[in-house]
Order: sequence, then C-alpha cells, then structure tokens
Amino acid sequence: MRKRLIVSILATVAAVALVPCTAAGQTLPRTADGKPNLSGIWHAVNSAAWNILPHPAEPGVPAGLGVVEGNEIPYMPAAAAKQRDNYANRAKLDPETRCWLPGVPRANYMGFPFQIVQTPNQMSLLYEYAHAVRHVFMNSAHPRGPIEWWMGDSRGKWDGDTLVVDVVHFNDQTWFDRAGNHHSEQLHVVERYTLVDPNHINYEVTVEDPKVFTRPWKMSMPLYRRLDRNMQILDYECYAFDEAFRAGPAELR
Amino acid sequence: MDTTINLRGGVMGSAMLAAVVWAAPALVAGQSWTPSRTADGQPDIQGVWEAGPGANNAGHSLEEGCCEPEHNRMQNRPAANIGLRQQVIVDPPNGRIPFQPWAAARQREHLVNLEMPTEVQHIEPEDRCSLQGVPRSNLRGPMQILQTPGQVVILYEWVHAYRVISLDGRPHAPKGTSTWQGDARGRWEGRTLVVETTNFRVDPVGYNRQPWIDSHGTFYTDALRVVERWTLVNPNRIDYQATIEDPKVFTQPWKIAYEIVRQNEKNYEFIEEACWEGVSVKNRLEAGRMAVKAGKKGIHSHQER
Repeated sequence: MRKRLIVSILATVAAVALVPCTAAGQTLPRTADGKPNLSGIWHAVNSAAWNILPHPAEPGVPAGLGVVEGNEIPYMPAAAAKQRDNYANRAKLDPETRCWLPGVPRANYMGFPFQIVQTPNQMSLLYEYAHAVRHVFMNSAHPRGPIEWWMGDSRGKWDGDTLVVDVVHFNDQTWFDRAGNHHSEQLHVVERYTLVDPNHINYEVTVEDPKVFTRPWKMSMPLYRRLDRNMQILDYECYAFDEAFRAGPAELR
Repeated sequence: MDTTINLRGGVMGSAMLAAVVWAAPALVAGQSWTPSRTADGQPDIQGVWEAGPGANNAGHSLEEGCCEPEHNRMQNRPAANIGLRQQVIVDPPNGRIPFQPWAAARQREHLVNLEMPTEVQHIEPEDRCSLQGVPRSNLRGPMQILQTPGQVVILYEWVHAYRVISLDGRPHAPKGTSTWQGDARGRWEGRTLVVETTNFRVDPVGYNRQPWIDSHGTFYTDALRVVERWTLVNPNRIDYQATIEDPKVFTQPWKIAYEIVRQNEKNYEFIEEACWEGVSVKNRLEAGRMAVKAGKKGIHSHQER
C-alpha cells in the first residue's frame, strides 16, 4: 500500500514536471534560430511498411495495429477494386520490387532509418533506402505544375513548434505500403512533425486525392531517434543487389 | 597572379587579365578575405557549387587534357585550352593514372566491354545510375553543401546522391560496413575541410557492381582510401584536391586538383533526378551483342576511326 502510494506520488510529480516542460517546449533541443531541432537519425518502428491498416501476421510479416485514423481508407469504389487487385498481385506490382523511389509518406516507414538535416531555409531528409532524398524548402511556394516527381515537391513552414510540410506534384506510381494501397498523381500530403521530447517526433499525415478517396484521411505514428552509439546512415542500394533482374523492365524499355 | 590564372584557366591575354583583376579585386586579394562562420564555428562553406570549367568532363576521363587531346577536340575546345590547366591529375606529373600492370589490363578490359557491352555489368556504372563514390561524385554536376553542428552534408543533384561527413571525431564505421559513397570523416584545418573516406563498396562477385573512379574503367579495391582537401579561397571558389590511394591497384598514391566554383543562380533548387526509374540499356546491349556476334573487335576510344 505504502509502496503503491509512493509510486503514485512519483508518477504525479513526474507528470507535473513533464507536462509543463514539454508543453512550453523548454526541454526541447533547439537550433540557433530557436526552432525545435529535428536534426538527427529517425526510424519508424511499426509494421506500416507491410500494411498501413490493421492486419494479422503472415509468414515473414509481423502483425500490426495499423496507423490509419479510424482504421479505414475511404476509397472510391473503383479505387477500392484497384487496391484489391494490387494486393493480389503485389509480388509483381509493388513498385518496391523494382526499387523505384518510394514516394511520401511511404519513405518514412519503410523499415530503414533516415536523417533530417535542418537549416533555417531548407530541411533535407536523407533516406537510407535507395538513397532517396527530399529537400523541404521553407516558406516558399510550390512551383507551378503539372510536375510528376516520385518524391513530390515539399514546402515547409513552422506552425508554432510543429514543422508542417505540404507535398504535391507526385506521379501515380508509388504505393503507401506493400498491401497495394495507392493514389493518383493528384495526391496531396500534409505532414506534421512535432518533437515531443528530444528523442520522439509525433508524425502525422493528412492524405488527399480527389481521384481516389472520397474524403481526406489521416495516419500517425511516432518516429524514434536512433540512439545507437555512433549511429550513421549506411546505404541500401536496392537495384544494385540484383541488377540484371531489376533491370528486366529497363531492358525492355 | 597565380590566383587569377587558375581562376580563369587556359591562356589569357594581359588585357583580359587586367579586366579580371579590376572586376574582382577581392579574389586577387584572396588572403585578406575571411570566411564567415556557422553557428558552431565552422568556416561557412554552404551553398551550391560545381566543378569549374577546368575539370569539365573529368569524370569521364581523369587523364583528359593531359594525354588525350582527342577528348578536348571532341568537345569543340579551342586548341589553346588544351594546356596544363586541363591536367586534372597533378601527381604523378605526367598526368597518368599509375596502374599496376594487372590493373591496367583490367581497365583495358573495361574499355573493351564498354565498346561492346553484352551484359548489364559491362555498361559503365554511371549509366546504370550508380552512386558515383568519391571523388567522382564531385565531378558530376551541381552539389549543395549544408552544415549543421558537427557535420558537413553534401547533396548532389545527380542521382539524388548525398554524403554525410562527420566532424565530431567519432571513429570510422567498422570494417564490413562498406558503402557506395564510402565512410567519411572530416576536420577543419583553418579554412580547409579535410575529409578522409574509406570503406568503399567492392563488388563481392568481382565484376563492376561498384563505382568507377571515372568512365574509363578506373576501378578500386577494398584498400581504397581518399583524402580530400576543400580549401575556401574566396567567396566563390574552393580549391579542391583529392589523394587517391589503393596499394592493390596503383603503384603510388595519386592526386587530382581542380577548382570548384559557386553557382550564383538565385534560389537554385535541386530537382528530382530519378535515374534508375527511367534507365534504358536495351539499345546498347543489343548493339553490343550484335557486334560481338559479328566477330567485331573494338575498344572505347575517342580517336577517329
């Protein structure tokens, strides 16, 4: 009883101590210009790479609670059918099997670390997977389209202590996961990166695509700082592992 | 004076020289310029840079301008420009890559395969969208340098490559973690960024699934070590040197040197260079296979035939 009381008091003290600090942002690491410092190497730890929706385990696939708000993606009927077809033929159709650039937000939860390099005017995201990169230009406008880029065009701004990144100008070739969840070139992604303590980012994504979804929908997950000693990004040069095989489609072109 | 001559390259009349001196006194004064500092006290080397005209196309052949004037001719350069300034390899003084005999034979084999490729691996790594390694990445188009505390990051537009150079004194990553861009550690010596890179990827199968040092089949082994010196000379110029050593391939360490110039285009933003996603090698393989089938012999060359 006494022990439980102490624990409870400690928990209360901890909660009281933590809440105002993080809320006021006093404990957050900050850059010279006063922004929360997101620099470092981050990693999503979940099974969204396989399926962003809740799913049971399969051989080689860990089960997952899903990262989509409401556990449902509001596909239009034809788009829902396309997802089912994608899923059935995922071994062949998943762009990951060709080692193409993974798109956004998929790049952030593929199971590889990525590094954020933060400067006042530009945040660069360096991915270990296929050395994909994104350069988030701050407080500037998207170039005029139509442009179809694999990783889209990213523009950032600070909303208080949250980095908000608006991403458009995608192609229709990337998926959200290995389960065939897909989009068109009209994809519009808004990401919110909120440093909640020095080692965690709350990552929230709003997805819009008037050709594919009946309404915007959201996903969210924590990103964890890689605390490994001397952590650094290595490489995963996907297509180089089995080039003749991967080049199959390219040879046909 | 040396500064000015190096800056412009080639042979220059005294009137032009005077014009440059007049236009850019700060450049000639060089020594009096002090680079600004980043928040953590590094000399500020940030911005968009590109290898200067003296190194134009050196990524294709580092021996260019020294021993193969045909290269220069094919790029429509005036004869006057084929001078000492074009010699990117400064050591050994003859401008040649000091291959060991076996390595020279292997390089020649690469040049034959380049001419008549029958397998994907015969096509040079750059054309297969490979990361270019070091120092070759620095010779392929614009690069943007960012600095944050404890590191220098180089972004390349070409194949969206990047390098992260730690300055925090940490040891090199352990053997067995080889990467295409190598493992870079840097330090500042005054206004010179010194970067030592090792642990480069080597094709475990032994044929060409690794970067080349240039398009002419200059290759390396797991013994490669590259030491680069990036010296800020003035706001718009970096003097770049790289010493390349691989005792398994070369008879001696050798050195390249050229200048890197700032790209002053306003609001320059990299666009996506998705290379692999659109690569096609079909025509080249078909042509190579037909040539081999027809019993043709050839080697990649810039000589007229």
